[in-house]
Amino acid sequence: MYLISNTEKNQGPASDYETKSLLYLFGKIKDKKNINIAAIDTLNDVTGASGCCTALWDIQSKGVKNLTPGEIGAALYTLYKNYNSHFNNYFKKYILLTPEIKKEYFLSLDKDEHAIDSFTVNVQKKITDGLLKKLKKNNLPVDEKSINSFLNEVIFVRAVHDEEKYVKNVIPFKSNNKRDAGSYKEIFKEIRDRQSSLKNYPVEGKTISYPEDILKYRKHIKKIDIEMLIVNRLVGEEVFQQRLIPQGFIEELIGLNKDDREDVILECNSNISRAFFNKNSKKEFWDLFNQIVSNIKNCRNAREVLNLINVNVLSKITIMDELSILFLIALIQQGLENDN
Amino acid sequence: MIIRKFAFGNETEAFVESRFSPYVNIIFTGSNNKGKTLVSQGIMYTLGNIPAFPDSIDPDNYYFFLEVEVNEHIYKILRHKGSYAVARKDHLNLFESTTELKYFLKKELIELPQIEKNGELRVVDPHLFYELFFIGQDKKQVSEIVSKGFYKNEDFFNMLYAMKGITKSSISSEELEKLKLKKAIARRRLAILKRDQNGTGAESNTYSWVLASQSETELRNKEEKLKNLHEKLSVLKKQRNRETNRKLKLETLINELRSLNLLIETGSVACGSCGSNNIIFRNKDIDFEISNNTVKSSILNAIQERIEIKKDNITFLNHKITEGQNALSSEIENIPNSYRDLILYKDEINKAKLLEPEITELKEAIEEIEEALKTGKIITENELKDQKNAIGNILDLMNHFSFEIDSEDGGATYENLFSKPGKVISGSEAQLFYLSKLFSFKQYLNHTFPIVVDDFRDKEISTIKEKNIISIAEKIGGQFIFTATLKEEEYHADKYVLSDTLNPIDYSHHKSKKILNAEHVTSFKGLIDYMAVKLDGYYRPPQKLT
Repeated sequence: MYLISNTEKNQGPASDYETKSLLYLFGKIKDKKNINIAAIDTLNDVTGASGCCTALWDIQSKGVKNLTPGEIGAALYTLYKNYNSHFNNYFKKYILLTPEIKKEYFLSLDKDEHAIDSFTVNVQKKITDGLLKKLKKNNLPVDEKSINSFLNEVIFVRAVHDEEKYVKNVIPFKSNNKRDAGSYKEIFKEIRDRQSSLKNYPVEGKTISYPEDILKYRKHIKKIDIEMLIVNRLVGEEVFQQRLIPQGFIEELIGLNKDDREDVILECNSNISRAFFNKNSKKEFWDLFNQIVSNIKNCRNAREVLNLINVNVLSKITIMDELSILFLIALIQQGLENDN
Repeated sequence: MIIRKFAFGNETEAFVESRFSPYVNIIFTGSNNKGKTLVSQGIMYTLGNIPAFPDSIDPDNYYFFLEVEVNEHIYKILRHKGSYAVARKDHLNLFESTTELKYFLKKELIELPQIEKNGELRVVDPHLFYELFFIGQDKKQVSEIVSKGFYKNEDFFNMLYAMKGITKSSISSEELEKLKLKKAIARRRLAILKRDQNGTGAESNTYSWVLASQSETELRNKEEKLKNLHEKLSVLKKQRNRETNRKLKLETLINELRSLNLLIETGSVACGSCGSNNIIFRNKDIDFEISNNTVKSSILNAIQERIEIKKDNITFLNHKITEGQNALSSEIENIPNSYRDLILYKDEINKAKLLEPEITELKEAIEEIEEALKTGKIITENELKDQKNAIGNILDLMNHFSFEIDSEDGGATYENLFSKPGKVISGSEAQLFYLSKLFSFKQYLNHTFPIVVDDFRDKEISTIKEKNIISIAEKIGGQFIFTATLKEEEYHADKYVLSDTLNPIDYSHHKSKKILNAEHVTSFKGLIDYMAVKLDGYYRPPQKLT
């Protein structure tokens, strides 16, 4: 029997933590409102950026359990290179995201995010040594003052929640149906696979003058795309499952008797189902979702949202009539209604 | 299932009962009209039962609320006319009919069994199921189930068998051949009969003919009646057609989606350089697929469930239509035959009617055979034996309980779950019969539902027997809700002693015929407000929209 070994066996968990980093930027971090894009495997594992890339949030993801202080120090290598780089002024935060670290290393620990001073002095020294060792190995200059001021800026984040929570944090979507963790796990997996595939485009050795230049390599994910994905998957599970008429759709049913109402709703659900199964109109469907999710805040009912949607986008949707689109909007509204 | 709270009312009067314990409860009074029947019927009504309220109340004017505990979850159910709202924690579900509620009950609260009816597997309706643990004061019968009409005694037995896992088994190939032959013979005979019947042309012409002779007032009244019946029938047929169309649309949709899904799975692409098949069409914006497997199967399953509900509705409507047609033709039969054409036509109708029973019988037989051929299952000797054993076990239990209750007279010996029709049984004997049955079902099926008996002593049960009944209930364990009307001379507030196993609830202080009062309205609203607003225009008239 042949034993398959020496493969990238850490690939699975490593990718998971990279996705947790991505969702952390979009859903958990305090500044999340300012972060609109995340560049993948370019400046670092994941680098969050504001819309015009004038501010950057750098994350190194290390999905290895029970890291030693030396390994932690070594893991800070890329972050430190960025700290010392030409883009120094753009970086707002430097983050290392890991699984749980041994309790003994800490002085006291009660938060999931902490600075280096939460570690014991001994451990801090070993971390510094670990970083120094790696710098020396790669023949890079060692400036103690710079290293110390860098270490004081690093934020250590423990990724200890399960996938469901990370997805939910990005955009909370409420549903009246019981939903098990499986739905969220699948969404997480889709994001992870997409993120992983972006790593296949090589940019090693290329140079850029401004952070926004990184976008031309198409190795990034936009927050709105993730929001749309989550809304899409969760609203997809609402189709044919509604127990209540969505609030934003009630006006469209005025004047109809019970039978007609039921027929209308059956028609709408059917058309939306077709849209979910029809791969051929993928782009049109996503464009519609983009328009809906972008315009949905502060609208009282579905028609208000519809009026804000770009006419060209609407005209391309052949599989859903106006009423069905209104119904879809109303379902999305209902799910997001506790968002603000 | 444990009943925790029951309440009913509207914006001007209400009644809230939250004193139920999870063991034996006895609601008692010294006189009638204190609301005991309203409470026991109300509880079951909220759960989807067909009501048997006394005339003093029109249930359509009230909202009915029930709080139950099932598997450590609390469910709150609100019913108003035909609509239901069911809440569990933050989830609220609305249902427009008892049929829709039924499927939800089956999913989450009650393992409603399935029985074969009219050649199809059908989830039993709540009102049949509840006869396992509920007896009302009126309408009870020793020879039949209460919810007769759509269901028969036979269905009740099938329900018991289903709950005990006694199901049909597969047919051998020789039996298959025999059945096919039987079916062919039956079909040939059916064709002959139908041909004979069609010669009369009875069905379609009758109504238009009656309209033609309008001179007699008697006939005119008949005409009114017929018109009403006919209209009702049309409405039902229209409804059935609508439901059939909807079912068809859903079935077409589900096939369409499934074929779309198939097209997607065939073939795949892989990257030329790294071999990954995670190829995504790149465009300016989004690269995710429009749905994933979870979404797709959720949609397909939801559509399937809707189809099942439609099938259920159609079966029920068909039953109602048959009833309606029977009513119509029996009305037609009673037309006074003082006219020559009447007589002529009546003969033709009668001829057609004569053939009807055999035609129906043949149709039923053919359906049964088709069902057996379709499912490949038929009842065998073993099942029949199991069924007999099951009933035997229940009867043994019934005799045992009857003896325990009626120890001084030795108890009765029962031969069947239902007595022969026409047999005369006295009031207290019948009451023993019902109670023994309910105790036996509880023991035999080991179910977790509360036993609810309105007026459990009926009129004549002696004190000793009553004591025995209560102690059996305490021994069996589980929740019991009994109501009792005590005679004036035996009533006193301490007739039943409060203990760890007995919870007496005195309704004597209720005003006669006025259990509902204004004081309870506030707490009632507190219980139902959130749910009632979603249910319909609860005490806020629906907004006048254009």
